[in-house]
Formats: sequence, C-alpha cells, structure tokens
Amino acid sequence: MATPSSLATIADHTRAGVAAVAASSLAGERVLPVDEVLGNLFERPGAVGLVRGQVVHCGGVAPLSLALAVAAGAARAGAWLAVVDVASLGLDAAVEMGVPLERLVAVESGPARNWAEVMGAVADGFELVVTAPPRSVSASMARKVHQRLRARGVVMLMLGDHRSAAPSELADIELRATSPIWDGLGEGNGHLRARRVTISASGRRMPHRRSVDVLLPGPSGRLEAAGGEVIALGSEDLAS
Amino acid sequence: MTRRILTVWCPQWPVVAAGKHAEIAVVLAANRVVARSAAAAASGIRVGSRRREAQRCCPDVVLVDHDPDRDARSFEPVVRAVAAFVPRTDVVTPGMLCLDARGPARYFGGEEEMARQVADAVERAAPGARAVVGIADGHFASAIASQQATPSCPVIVAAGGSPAFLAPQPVRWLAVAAGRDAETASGGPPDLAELVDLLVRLGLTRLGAVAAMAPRDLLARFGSIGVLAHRLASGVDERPPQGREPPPEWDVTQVFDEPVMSVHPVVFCAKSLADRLAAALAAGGQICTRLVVVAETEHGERSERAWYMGTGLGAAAMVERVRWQLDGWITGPREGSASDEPDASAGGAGASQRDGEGSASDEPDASAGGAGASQRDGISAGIVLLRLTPAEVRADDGEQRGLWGGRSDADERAHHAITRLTGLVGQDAVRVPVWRGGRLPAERYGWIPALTADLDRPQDRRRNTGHAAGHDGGGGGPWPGALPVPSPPVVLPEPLQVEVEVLDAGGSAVMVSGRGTVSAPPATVAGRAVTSWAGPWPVEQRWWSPEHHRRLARFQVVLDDGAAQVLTVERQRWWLAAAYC
Repeated sequence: MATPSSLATIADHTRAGVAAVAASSLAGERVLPVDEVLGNLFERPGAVGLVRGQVVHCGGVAPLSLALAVAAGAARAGAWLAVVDVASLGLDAAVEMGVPLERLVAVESGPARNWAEVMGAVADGFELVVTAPPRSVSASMARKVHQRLRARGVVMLMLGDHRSAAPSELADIELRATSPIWDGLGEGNGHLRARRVTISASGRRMPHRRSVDVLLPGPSGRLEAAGGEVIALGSEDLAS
Repeated sequence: MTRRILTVWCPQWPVVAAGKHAEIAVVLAANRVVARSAAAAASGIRVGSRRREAQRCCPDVVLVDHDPDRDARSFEPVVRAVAAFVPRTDVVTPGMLCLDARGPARYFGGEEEMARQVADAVERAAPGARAVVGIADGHFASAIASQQATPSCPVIVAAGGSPAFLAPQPVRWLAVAAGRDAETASGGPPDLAELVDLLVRLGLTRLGAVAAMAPRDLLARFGSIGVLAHRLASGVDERPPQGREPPPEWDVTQVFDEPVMSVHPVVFCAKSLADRLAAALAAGGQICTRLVVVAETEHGERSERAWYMGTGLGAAAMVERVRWQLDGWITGPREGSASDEPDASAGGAGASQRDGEGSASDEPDASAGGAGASQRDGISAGIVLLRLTPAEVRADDGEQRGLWGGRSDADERAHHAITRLTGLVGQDAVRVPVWRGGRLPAERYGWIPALTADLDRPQDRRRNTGHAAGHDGGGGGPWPGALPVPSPPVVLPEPLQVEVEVLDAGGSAVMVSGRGTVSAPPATVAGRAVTSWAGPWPVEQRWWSPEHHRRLARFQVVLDDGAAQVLTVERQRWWLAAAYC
C-alpha cells in the first residue's frame, strides 16, 4: 500500500492536519504568527506576532509586498485571508511570498458604502484581511469597522496609498518600507532578482521606532533577511 | 412498511436549462464539463473532461457557463408539472425530484402507467428534458433505477426487490445518494466520494459486496459514513426507522413588516433562519433530511416546496434551496413553459400539500404547486413571510473534526462568511483564484466565483507543481519565457493597464523592431528617469489564430525612486503591465 504517491498523500494530510490544529489552537491565542524575519518588528513583552484585532498600515515603496509578507506567516498556519478591493493583486507574487492560495478569497465591495458592510461580513469568517479602503470612507465609518474587527480579533492590513485620509489614524502599527535597492538589473541585461529595503515600524504603543533590513522579495520571491552579499551589491549599485 | 418512491431524473439538466440540448453543447464549471448534450456525448465528450479536451473532440462545440440559479429557475416548471400529479413532491436538486408513489399509483392505474404519465408531463413542461423515471422501495434504489431507465421505458423494481436490484450495481453510485448522477460521482460530498474511491481500491466494486459486510465493521473502520453506505447498499432506505415527523415548534418563521420584492434580502434572512434551525436541530442531535420552505406574499400568493437530501441538509444547503425556490418563483420560469401548467385556481392550494395527500390526488388540477395562478408571471406583491419547516429529521451521525486533513474550524467559519459575502455583493464579486497558465503576468491566474468552486478541493485550482517559478516543469506545465521569479505583486488586468510614454536620451520615442531590437536605451518612463532596465523579451502568442494573435515585448525597468515596473510594448505602444510595489 505504501506507494510513493500514497506516502505523499499522507504527508500532505499530515501537513494539512497540523496546520488545521495550529489554526484551531490559534483561535485561542492572542497573536498570529509572523515570519521570523519580521519578528523583531512585532516583538512584544511575552509574545512575538500579530496581535489580533490590530490594524497594521503598510506604506512606503512596497505596500502590497509588505502586506503579503506579513500575512504569509499566519496564512501558512491555517488562517484565511480576505483581500478586499485590491483589484490588481499578483497571485504569483503571493504564492512566492508563501501565501496559500486555497485560503485566499478576493472580494470587491462595489459602491463605497458597501465597504463597511463587506468588512463586517469578512470579520465573521476571516482572520486576516488586506484592504485598501475607498477614498469615500469617512473616519467615523472606518472607526466602526475597526471596532468590529477588534471585537472579532481580525488583523487588518491596510494598504497605504495616500488616497484616503481617514484610516491611517486607526493604525496600531505603521510599517514603512524605504530606501529600496534593486539587484540584478543592468543596462539592458539581467533581470530583477531581489530588492533590499528597510522596514521600519512605529505606532501608538511602540515607544521606539524599530527597523530591520530585509530582502523583499528575495531571489526566490520570499521575504528574506538581508545578507552580506546583497549589501555589497547594493553599495556597488549606489556607487555607480 | 417500506415506501414506494418514484424518482424523476432529467439527465444533463444544466444543458437543458441552458436551452442547448438540441445542439452539440457542454456546460462548464471551472473549466470542466459538468453536463453535455446528447449530441456532444455522441462525439465523445465526457462529463469531467476539460474544456480543451471537449473542443478537441468536437471543434464547434457550444460552451455555456454553469449557473446553478438558472438550473433551479428552469426546473420550476418541471416541479409544477409533477406537482399536478402528486402534491407532495420532494426536490432533491435541480434535475432530480422524488415523490411517494404508493397512493397516486393506485389512482393512475398502476405504477407503470403513472411513470409514463409523469414522464410525459415533464416532457411537456420542459421539451427536450428526456426525463427518466424509476420506481423502487426507498429513495436510493429509486434514484439508481431512474439512472438505468430510458425515456420510453421506466425501470420499476418490484416491492421488496431493492436489495437484489442493488447488489450488482457498481459502488460509485453511492454518490447518487447526494443527488448527483453517476458520471460526476467525484462531485459528491467529499467523504462519500473518498469512501467510494477507497472501497473500489479495497476490491469492493459492487454494492452487494458492501451490503454483505457487517455494519459494525464498516462503522469501526469508516465511521458513520460507512454505516450510511451499508444502509444504502443493502436497499434499506437512508432514513433509519426511528425517523419521525418533528414537532411543529421547530419551524422557524420570519415575518417581514415591509414586503420585500427581491430575492436577495429574503435569502439573507433565510440565512439567519437556517442557522437558527440548524443550531436547534444540532442541539437535539438531529439533522434535517427534508425541508419544507414556504413563502407568502402580501396578496396571499404562496410558494411551498419540499427539498430532500438523504445525507442531511446543513444551514448552507438550506439557504441554497431557499434561493433556488425564490428565484424560480419571483423571477418566474423562462418563457414557453407556462402553457402546460394546469389551471390552479385555489389560492391556498399550498395548504393541501402537506395534509391533503389523498384528496389532492383526486383532483390534480386544484393542487398545482402552492402558489396558484399568479405563479406564471412571478409575484404580484412583496414577500411578507418566510418559513422553514424541518419535515423529516433523523439522528445526526455526528462529524468528527479531522486531525488528518479535512476541515478545520477556521475553514468552516470562512465558508460561512463566503456564503454571506456572496449574498451581500453578488457571486461575481467574491472570488477565488484558479491557475490558468501563461507568459504574461495578467494571464497566469484567473478568478472564479467562490460559490462555484469546491473549496474543499483546492488542488483543482492550484498549479500542480506547487511552485510558481517560471521555468519549472511538472503538471502545471512549463511556461518558458514567463517572467522570472520574483513576480510582481501588482498585476494590472488588461483593461486597467495604463499607456505610458517611453523616451530615449534624445527625447524621441523608443521603438522595438520586428526582430526584437531596441532603437535606443529607454531613458524616461512617463517622465521619470530610468536607472536600469532589461529587455526586450519578445512574446509571440497564438500565431495560428488571426483574432488571438499577439506580438509584444516586455521590459523590466527600475526608475530613479526605486520603483520597478514591467512594461509591455505592442504595436509601438507602451503599457504599464505590472509593478513591484
């Protein structure tokens, strides 16, 4: 019976089972796991991870990459990810970043006043939501949504594209990716290989601004810690 | 005393519902054939094959997208036609319904005569449906009998003959219990389909072999689903003998102060009713197998339908059935079907459906459906009442959360939320990704409505290799020439792509020649300076097809502020196709 394929199926099931158990045990936890490369930014007394009910604002030069990288850790552990009103999500990038597509659902809210309703419904079933609130969402409506999400323990990853004024004040944690340096592309040759950025985190409950240098994305498309090699390449790039 | 059940089955109903049964046509869901017309079957197209395989069998096959609502809507005339014979009709799924044949058969002069009349009525209500009829003891045997019948020749299994009839049948027909036809057996509830697969691999290929095993062994090995399989296979009905009519206080009712004219708000309320009902039943360890849905309008019009599912109706399934029923009622059936409807004048005829079994069959004309004459053209006033009645319950065998695979709690909640979101914004606005493949970023993944996808079988939607790198081989198919890893996180679908101006150092537009050379290195993109770039990477697609032929070239550029973009140039016009942000 133990053919390679059946073994692979068993391994698959085991993995899924472990993920499911992790997810159900996640339900009781106050934090969702994040990739250890970002651990430093999400360290709190006693725990490392995304605190349920928080709003994380992703801004700077790479808002969507950042949101995917943050979401990937929890999504891998069994959490469902809703993507609300992000029409242009590149799924290849999401897969490379480690987001399991079988637990990703995209929702379009249509006319703006629906956004709050949609977010309310999302809050009942998902643990993570990536969204770009429409411009017309008022501060008070955004706050209501935030309260609902907090009550349900949903982490909202808000894409900052400076369109809407209201939501950025909601953010518990503000992540910014700055000073991007691309590696791999030359003058008519090569291809994009990796981008080194500095991610800084600040927020209401964070006394000091923290930052970490990462490859977002790394050569495999995943989030990676910035190694020495790329720093060298990066500085070369700067020099030229 | 066992019951005589008559099953009417319209094979390949989705094709008939789409009105394409006379052509070479297939109905597709998620790129797979879910139903095909007789002509398509003759040219070798099978249910379950891919779109491309279907087109290979028959190049000018008509492709229709699957729409479960359309199936339900067009099934409404059939239900009404059958309800003219027997008021107590249980709809299993659009395309299949069953009814208790014992009383009516006597009235119509024998089971064979009745089967013929029912088939004729269905054919009049839905021309081309080629309905088949089977009669046997119990739902399951009767469903199997209908699968073996032909339109002109119903299959009637004599009373007490069900076990002998079932014994030589292949086990894959266990999935019929869930209201699917045998060809799409893999589409049944996941655990039943898995069990069938396993039984075949164990060498139990006939239902008789399953029936010969001791139920307790099946229980020990497979859990409650094994007992269910045994019960089905041995011709005992799926309803255990202790099943009984539930007390009326289990009904859940919603009264609308403001009459509602459209389907969505009512379905939304049905969701909370169904949740309440399912929770109440679950608290008593029960599950509903037959649900009666009643809706009434301000003018007293009434729609009453019974829905049957041997494996039990969960809250989501209940909501689906309410939606099917209301859709058929409010929107009205398609044109051309009303003429054969008997003239039902009694406004409250629906009331006779449950209590007047014998009397109603004496006067078939008075009992056509619940809603009276106005059913023909939808409703004339808003809905004021919606009631869900669990008409048959049985002990729930329970479901153990799987440690090894299966659904987790988080999955369950997400599935609920998806149903709810779909009710809120429509099914085209709640979507899940499905792998399609391609060289251009915007082609590689498509989106399908989450409701039509089988969320428990994500492997259908995933790229087989499990990795999305551009150059890997394997089941997902290699796409040499696709963009190398890492992929851009922002991919603009073609209609959203922005035309940009790309200039060289001298200020003139950059051109790409037919041989794939650049006139000059790009210096600015939409006014921003380029610091590094690569390209052109030419793509020539579908040169064999004049209308789909495309030639274009891709570039990667990094601009002075660190932004990286993918540009495409096609017919000397530049487009921003994707960005790394």
